[in-house]
Amino acid sequence: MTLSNRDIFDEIECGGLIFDPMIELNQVSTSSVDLRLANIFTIPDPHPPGTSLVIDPVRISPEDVFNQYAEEEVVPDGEKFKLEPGAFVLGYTLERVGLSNYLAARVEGRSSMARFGVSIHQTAPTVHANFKGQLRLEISNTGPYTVLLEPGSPFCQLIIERLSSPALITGESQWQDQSGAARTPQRP
Amino acid sequence: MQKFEMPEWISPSRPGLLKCSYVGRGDLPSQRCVQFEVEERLYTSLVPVESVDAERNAMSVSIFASLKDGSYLVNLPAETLTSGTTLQIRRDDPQLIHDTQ
Repeated sequence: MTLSNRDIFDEIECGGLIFDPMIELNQVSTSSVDLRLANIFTIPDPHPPGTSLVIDPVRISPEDVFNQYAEEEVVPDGEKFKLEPGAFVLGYTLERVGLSNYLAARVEGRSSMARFGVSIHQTAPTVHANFKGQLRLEISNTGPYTVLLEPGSPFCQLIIERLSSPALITGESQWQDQSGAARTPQRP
Repeated sequence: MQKFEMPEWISPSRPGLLKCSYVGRGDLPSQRCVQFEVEERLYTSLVPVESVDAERNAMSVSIFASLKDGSYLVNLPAETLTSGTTLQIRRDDPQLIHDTQ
């Protein structure tokens, strides 16, 4: 069952749902929480330029690939990230999210970005129960325009669901505690 | 435990109006593009035409919670281009008309 704004506030108060930094009240909509964009981006950059790198996902992890074949860009305060048409980059939410063992969530885009052709994940929206960390975003621009992404602005929304019973936690997600190296201070 | 101020719910929520600095055409005939300013920040939204009070240059909102700092949480008819559907606004903000009952 999807949490309403009332449920979301209740879960934050009792510690079942954690945001760090704490969200502003106006980030909570009727049935979701707007999350903001962090200022660090991972830009896939195959070498040598112009070639296509062949990836076997069974044998190599995305993090291994990006450690070797990607560049990180930290956007300075007050500046924006240019997302060119056809571009694909990885980003993070500004907020670390913590879910208890009876809550799961989905991260989804916002219509204002979607209308420009910007998507924020590639069919992987699920945030499992007991997850703690910043959310990794697979950002792409399928529209015809270069879109400026503003770190610190609301960029995606988290839809939180209550499980039918608390999950048995047998292991941690491979993405547990993932985080970007840099984070954007909150906007005034 | 994280520091968090619980809102005081207003149930049922109360109708209000938010003054707009601009009302124009939306993407669809059933929409209007509105702009409004709160705390010196400009917001733009595409809202259903029936939520706009053309005579008062305002749009309808729903006041659903109050906070100890003297502000309300209001629900907008649609999300803004830069934020969601919830707006925190001071009770005495002249943009908010809440005597519409």
